Amino acid sequence: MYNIQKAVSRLKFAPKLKEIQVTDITKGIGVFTPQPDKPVSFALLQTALKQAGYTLATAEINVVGTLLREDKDWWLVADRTGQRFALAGPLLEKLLVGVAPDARVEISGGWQTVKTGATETRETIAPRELKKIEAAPKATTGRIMPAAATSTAQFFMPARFAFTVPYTPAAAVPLSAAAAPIRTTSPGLTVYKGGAVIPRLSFVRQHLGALVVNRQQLNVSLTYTPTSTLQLEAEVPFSRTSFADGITSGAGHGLGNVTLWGKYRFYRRVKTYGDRQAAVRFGVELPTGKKTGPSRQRLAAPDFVRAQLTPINGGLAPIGELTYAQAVKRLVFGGNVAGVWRTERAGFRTGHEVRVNTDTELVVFPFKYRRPVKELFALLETNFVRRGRGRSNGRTVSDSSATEYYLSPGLQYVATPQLVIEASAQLPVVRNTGAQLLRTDRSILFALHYLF
Amino acid sequence: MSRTMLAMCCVLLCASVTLSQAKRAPALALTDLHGRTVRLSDYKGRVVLLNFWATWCPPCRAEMPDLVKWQRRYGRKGLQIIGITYPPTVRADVRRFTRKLRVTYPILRGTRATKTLFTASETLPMTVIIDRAGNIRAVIEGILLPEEFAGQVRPLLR
Repeated sequence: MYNIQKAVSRLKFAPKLKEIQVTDITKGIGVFTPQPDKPVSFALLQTALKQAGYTLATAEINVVGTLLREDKDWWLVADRTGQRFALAGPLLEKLLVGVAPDARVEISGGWQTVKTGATETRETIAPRELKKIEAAPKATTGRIMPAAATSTAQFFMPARFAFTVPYTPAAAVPLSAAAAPIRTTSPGLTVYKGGAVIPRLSFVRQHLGALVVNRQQLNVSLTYTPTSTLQLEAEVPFSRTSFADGITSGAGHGLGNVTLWGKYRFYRRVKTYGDRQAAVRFGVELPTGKKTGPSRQRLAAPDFVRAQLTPINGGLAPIGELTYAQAVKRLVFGGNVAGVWRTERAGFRTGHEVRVNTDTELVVFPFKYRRPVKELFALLETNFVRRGRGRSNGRTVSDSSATEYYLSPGLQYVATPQLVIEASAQLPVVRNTGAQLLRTDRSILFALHYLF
Repeated sequence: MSRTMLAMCCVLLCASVTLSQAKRAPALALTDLHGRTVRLSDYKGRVVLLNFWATWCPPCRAEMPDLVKWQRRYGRKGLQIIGITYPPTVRADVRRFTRKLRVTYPILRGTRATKTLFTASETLPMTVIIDRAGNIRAVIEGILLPEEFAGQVRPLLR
């Protein structure tokens, strides 16, 4: 923050260092009121920040002045400095309806410096808002601007810089979370003989500062169990991701990384009203997913953040899991410990992961068990994830590790011996995440299990 | 006579005030990227700039080309810049970055505690100016601007 203040304070039109406010350190949004008698320049502001290592994406300005029309061009002549701002933009004509050509107005909008010649430039505003200001009382010598009005020629600059942590990570606000939320529905559910098709639809909301991301993710999993101890599974994810940060928005969709699984149940002990079983599960996430996210022009955010808007977390990723499940009367308990080793794809990967998941299921009804249908289970999953630092463009991203803990209450209904319906919500409990990871706010999941 | 005495008193008073303000630099011994121990006392008699930086800090990266330039230009006049990394540090990243920028001055591995020897501020980069006598003359928060170098470092090199 201090570096931004120091860089901007070097400008002739800037106020004192302490009067330059950085209102959102993680997004790099700053506000300052320039000295009222000094002309301003977007280009100089951009250069000053560049020298300090920051990239200025956009700026807005608010100017009080008098409109001026020359031929077809509109100008705003600022009070006190007399600096002329060219007015342009899609909303200009609409905003100027009913406004006199020499009216006093207050205009807010996007600010740019435009080259008009080899060495000449001019400041332009793309007006977003225009307010008429009552004319000052006329004196015999002409119009007199009230002093107070001229001194309120206030500029403010919500500027988005392409960085997230400008100084020390220890001082930064923790901001992020899992690139893709972690769901392990029924981790204790081990091996059923036969096959199953399980489509899972999840609605996930994430954010990073003002950047809000919504994902709709469909995971279709096909399992086949050739023997009572071995299960094979293929999981195909497809996701649609939309984002908006108050300035820009967009959406994309694509295939995620297909995962192949093999599970071997090495232990089972059956009792009269319950059983215990344990299994190992190995998987490999294949680099099949779409790897292109929104461009830097589309979304002014670091590469690592933009890469998280793709449906993938990286490239080839081996996964190992140890699962244990135990059923005692009306209660089923399962848990697993998993490790994911990620490799880079297109120069990007999120961190390696260790997960500890538990799943507790209670048979709500029937009260008297007759056969395995029309059963309603109340579920409570817990998901703990420790994620290391990710990589982007061949470099380790310093603020990309995370420790997260989620609770997921839900319901599961066994409608027929072939059909199971499930719904659950994932709620964050602990989100101690680095400043460059999207932060998961909630995740709602619907699933169907069709067994054959 | 009385005017001369008065002038001498003023000079002595000013000198004592200056001496009392100048803080002695602590004895610092850190390892460089090759594991060798480097002591601040090794540079006694030179004007030392201790520059605390990190590869993940954009302003630190932005100011380093200037530091490299100043070391080349004023090294013969007694300037010695010493880069001290601030955690978290990945040694490979530091090596890659310093090689890319052709950093000619020593880079030492620091800790948070190293920085707090000079200031409690969390700002990075941070540069400590130490004169030839080993006294801390200034602690510059943020990028060391060319005007700050000209105003606070160059006079010490004369």
